[in-house]
Amino acid sequence: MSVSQLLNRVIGIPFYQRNAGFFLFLFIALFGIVPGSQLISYHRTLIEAILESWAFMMVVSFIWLLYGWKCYQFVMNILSEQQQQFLYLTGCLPAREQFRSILLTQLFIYLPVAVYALIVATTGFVSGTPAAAVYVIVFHSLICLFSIRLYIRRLRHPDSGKSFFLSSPFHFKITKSYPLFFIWQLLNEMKTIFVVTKLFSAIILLAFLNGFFLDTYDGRVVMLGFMAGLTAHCVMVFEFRKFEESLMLFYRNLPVSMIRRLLNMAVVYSLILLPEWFLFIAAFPERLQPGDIWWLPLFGTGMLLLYHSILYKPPMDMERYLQWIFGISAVIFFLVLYHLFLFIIVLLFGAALFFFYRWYLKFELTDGQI
Amino acid sequence: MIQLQDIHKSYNQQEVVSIPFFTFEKQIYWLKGINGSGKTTLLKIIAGLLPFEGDVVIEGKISLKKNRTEYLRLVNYVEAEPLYPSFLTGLDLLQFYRRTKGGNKEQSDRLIELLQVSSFIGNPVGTYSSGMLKKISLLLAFTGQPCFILLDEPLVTIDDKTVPVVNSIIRDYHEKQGIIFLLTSHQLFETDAFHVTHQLKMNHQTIHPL
Repeated sequence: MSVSQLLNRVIGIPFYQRNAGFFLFLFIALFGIVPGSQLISYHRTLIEAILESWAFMMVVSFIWLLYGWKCYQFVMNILSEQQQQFLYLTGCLPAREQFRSILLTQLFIYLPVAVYALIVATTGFVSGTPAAAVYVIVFHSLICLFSIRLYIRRLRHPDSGKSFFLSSPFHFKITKSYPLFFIWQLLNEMKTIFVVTKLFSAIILLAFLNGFFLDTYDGRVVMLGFMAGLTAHCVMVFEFRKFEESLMLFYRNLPVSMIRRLLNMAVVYSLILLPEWFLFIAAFPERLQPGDIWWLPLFGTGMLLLYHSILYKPPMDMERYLQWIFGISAVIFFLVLYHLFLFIIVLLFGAALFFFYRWYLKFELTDGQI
Repeated sequence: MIQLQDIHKSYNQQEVVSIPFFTFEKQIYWLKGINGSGKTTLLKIIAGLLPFEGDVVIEGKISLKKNRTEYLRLVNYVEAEPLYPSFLTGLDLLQFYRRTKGGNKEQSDRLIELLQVSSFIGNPVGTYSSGMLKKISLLLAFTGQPCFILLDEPLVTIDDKTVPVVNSIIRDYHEKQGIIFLLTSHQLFETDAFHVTHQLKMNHQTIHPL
């Protein structure tokens, strides 16, 4: 087995396996929300917008950068794992061979973005915006080369910092309570999911609040828009459950009552939805009616709490989870149409309570799950 | 006195633990058994980490199934290879344990001093070696007012200097507070450190006195 194949097996393939949920979400966000017949024209318009507006290019560059950061973090975390210490032997290879092997691994994990960037750059050359096209090529080359340089430095000097994220700006020395553990996890280990989810949620919410889909105000439309934004949080919730069952397992041995455990998670999701609350406050009173500003926060927290609670029902797998989310969204959609707002909130919290009490103590992570 | 009542645990229709009845008196127990015999599963069951059939009851009245919160206040557990979020510091964990398990500052300060963790307890656990992590997990296991402490391989990865310290804490907790210990270890406990009154063997899914 060549070094490239070995690195692929240890880094490349696990990258896609562990991020299957993220890629599924990305796929749905990019290709699932537009009807098949309009898919090509939709992406052509999107690419042209990227190439013609430098402001839009900067926004997209930021998202690409986040993906590059995600790849970098994944590789560095793999290199920090005890069982992967043998990889440091690659530090003894001739520089050229080492570079080649790591370049192939980096290109493999960077492939989804690289392919899209290549299409953007090609379109740029064809449609007469060569400066933007060259920028795209240089930008991605720099991300890859800089990452490779850092990997090689790490492989040659294993003691040069155990894990980069520990020195990231998101580490503060304050007393942390249980809900904050999740916020810290989000800011330290789930940055890409956090930013992509919130961007998606904000765009949808702003579109609905600004009457993009309907000229006259209707609380039901805002609620449906919010529901679409909440659905985008499903990957984040899934990652939280994985975090709970792996690194927070000790919490099950702590004397915390069942209701307190559930309330803690309700606090977590209330904090997660703070950006949305700010959007609602900013939209009030011009674009949001007084009644709606009260039930929207409860709706959001209840919905995410229910997503979280259904993941206690074994087995915990993404496919079954997405089926549940689809079913919940369908039910809520019809209840929203009939203006049953109070009933929806009672139903969401009631169902979350039911699933939590029914399955929390019966859940056990077994081989093959997540 | 802690009773295991008709405990059964299976994976894929294969029974891994089956204990009709067993009583832990106020003693120190050393649970032995080959790899895969079910020692860790049993410890996790008693610690409330795994679902199972049956019940564990403290002093005939505090049941794991019926009085879970009260039960967990009295049972502390440390894993053989503990895992914590890497961004938390040892101090974050200690404060979190103190808020839930109880325990006071004097107790924590004494344990920090005994286990010699003061130099790194304020750093994120992601920067710890496996031995440092083990010391923090032992510190957490001795926090609060438990009546039953379960230690899975307590001596693995800790340095030679710390082994007698851990032994003396176990002896102190047992002699002064009457705490029951259930230990698993492939290493030999020093015979003069504390008196292991009962040696048990996990075999054929159940516990046998040796």
